[in-house]
Amino acid sequence: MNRPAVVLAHGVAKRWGSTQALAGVDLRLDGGVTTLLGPNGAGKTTMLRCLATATVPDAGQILVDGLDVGERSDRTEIRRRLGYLPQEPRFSPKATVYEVVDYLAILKEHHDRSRRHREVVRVLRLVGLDDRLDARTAALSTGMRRRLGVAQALIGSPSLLLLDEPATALDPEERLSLREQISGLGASSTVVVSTHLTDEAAAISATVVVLVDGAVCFVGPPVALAAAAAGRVWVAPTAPVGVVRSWRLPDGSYRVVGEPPTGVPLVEPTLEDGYLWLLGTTRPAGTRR
Amino acid sequence: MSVDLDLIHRYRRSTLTRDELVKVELELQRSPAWRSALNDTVDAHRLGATWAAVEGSLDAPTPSRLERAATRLGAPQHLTRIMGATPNLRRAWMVSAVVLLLFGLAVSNGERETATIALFLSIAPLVPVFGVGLVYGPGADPAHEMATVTPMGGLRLVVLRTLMALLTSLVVVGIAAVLVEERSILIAAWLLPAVALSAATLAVSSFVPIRNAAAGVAAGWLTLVVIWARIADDGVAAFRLPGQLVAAVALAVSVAVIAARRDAFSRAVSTT
Amino acid sequence: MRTEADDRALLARVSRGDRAAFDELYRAHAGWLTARLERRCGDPDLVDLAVQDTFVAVWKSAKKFRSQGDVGAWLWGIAIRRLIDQMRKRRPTPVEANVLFDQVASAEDELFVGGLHGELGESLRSLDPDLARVLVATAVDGLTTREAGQLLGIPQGTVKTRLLRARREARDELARLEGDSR
Repeated sequence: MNRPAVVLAHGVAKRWGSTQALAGVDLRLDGGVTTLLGPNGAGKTTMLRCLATATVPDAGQILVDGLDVGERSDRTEIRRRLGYLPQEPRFSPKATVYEVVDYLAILKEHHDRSRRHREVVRVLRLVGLDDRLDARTAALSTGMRRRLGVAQALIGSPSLLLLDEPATALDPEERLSLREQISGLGASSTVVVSTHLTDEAAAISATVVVLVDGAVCFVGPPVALAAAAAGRVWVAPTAPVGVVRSWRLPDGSYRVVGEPPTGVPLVEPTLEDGYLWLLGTTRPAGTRR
Repeated sequence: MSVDLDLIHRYRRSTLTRDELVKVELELQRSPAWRSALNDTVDAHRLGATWAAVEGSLDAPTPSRLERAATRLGAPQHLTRIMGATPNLRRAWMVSAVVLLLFGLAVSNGERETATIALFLSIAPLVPVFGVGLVYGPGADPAHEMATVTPMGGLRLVVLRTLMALLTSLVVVGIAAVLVEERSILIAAWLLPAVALSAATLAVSSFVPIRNAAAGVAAGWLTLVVIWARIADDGVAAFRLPGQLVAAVALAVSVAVIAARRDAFSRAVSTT
Repeated sequence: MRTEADDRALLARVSRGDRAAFDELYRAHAGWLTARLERRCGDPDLVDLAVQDTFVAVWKSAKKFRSQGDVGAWLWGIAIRRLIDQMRKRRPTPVEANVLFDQVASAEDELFVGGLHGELGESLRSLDPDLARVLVATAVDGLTTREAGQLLGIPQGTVKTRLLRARREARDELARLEGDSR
């Protein structure tokens, strides 16, 4: 069994053209499942790409088990320990499910054919694609293609597993089984999952990292994120003004996140409330970019 | 003789005496009943994993003829698989290369022989260039981002796939070359330019997207060939010794650029 | 109760590409092949790979089976050779020692073995473990001296000399037994 990878990121910055995708991110990961939570464009994908050695930060340093992502000589060794699901996994349309994983397994140095076949079948079983081995990727549903992407990331049981929005396009049943998979992997790997869905983060992770505009604005367990909105969530009979967020509930009342007026009946905050409070205070609606 | 289940279980636990072990081994060699009894002692979960692997192997991609040939010549199976893994557009590229070459020959038919050869020699080196640009090159593979962040990813994979483009071109152009009537040594003169241009395409692709690199290199090449032919008043001037020397220098420069810029091939996402 | 005729019919169906028959054949034989290979090799991973390779080979070459033979023995012949292949691939990492006889209690455990007669049985009972292993590999597993060497991780020449010694000692032993009985 693997030991989970230890990841240290310090002052990681990355610019794409005129957009500052990451503005000095510090992170320390050591086993377990961590979610990167944040709105679209917050820098989640860029951060995962940096960790995955798919791109090199403009500034700052990322160490995986003490190996430097920016050093050519270290990179291959990091890649040996790495599994990566890109945000949009794409495959040769004519290749079969089996071929895709087999090919990537070769690139991951699984040279012996019998062993490789065993590994390919193992990872495809994990994502429930073992009955579609000879299907062409063009014939797969979007959810299946994403599961195929997850399967290739699992080849060789990597000690650092990076999954960019793995739950996107999955149906509820697929999503549940993926959650179960990911939680199980947290014991032997350091797993980083990006998502913009708060319920996803709450369901799978021990640690939540909230990224907003390329900067970390929260690190902690899901309950702590929920607690950030403690005393700031209430239910009002009419639409309030001047609050962080509010939305209409099915019974016609409003759930409100913000600084409460005195005397309103407060309710228990959820992780989503905490996240919204955090977003609202770090980034008042559409002002910063 | 009936099966002694106690012996079977102790066979599994490795606690038999020598005599007992010999007895069990000999029974297993001939008796279906003993085999069947032993068969039931093995963990079904373990056998299930093996069965899945067996089934997977049956569904494994059958190696292409080219792959099998390479394996028979002693290439490691995993490398031939990388090369044989269904690249996009391979067939389209090969067919269009042959058509292009045949078209060139048809057009020049009846003209002076030098023109035929010049046309053939000018087009032939472009076959691997487009192979690298459209079929095998980094970026032509939809799974590029996943492939790059593997230990084999980066320059190694890029070079392997470029070699594949070159090898395939050799076959395709070889077929066309048979149809060129002229049998002079010149007919092989496209080889070095082909290698040089492929390397140049890779080198340029460390700065710009590979499709643009291939197009640029192709345009540059055709311009050079035409101008040289005009200046020297010789249709195949670019393929004679000085031309070959230029190709060799270009190859060396390209390799140097590739080596210097090798980190660019290791990036799955371009910076621009 | 499985019979040899059942197995032959099954194999005939497998040779015609019948996946259900193949599944049945696997269920009937994979277990004991695994267990028996484990007595030849201490690494369960290699054993599983050998069984996997065996059935992949069976699927491809079921036609080659002679219709009157013992399917189990034929499978064993493939399996033990696949195990050798797997063990050879493992070099230069050390080959797992052949574990057959390692666990065996010393010779003073004189348990009567019914039904075990003949030269082979007698030789195996009395021989030095090194010699016995060579004898099992060649006489029971049906390997060539070269294959036996690969399985046991010793040179072919050593296999040959041990085999000669085993035969000589067995002859002496038999002669002694015959002498005793007179």
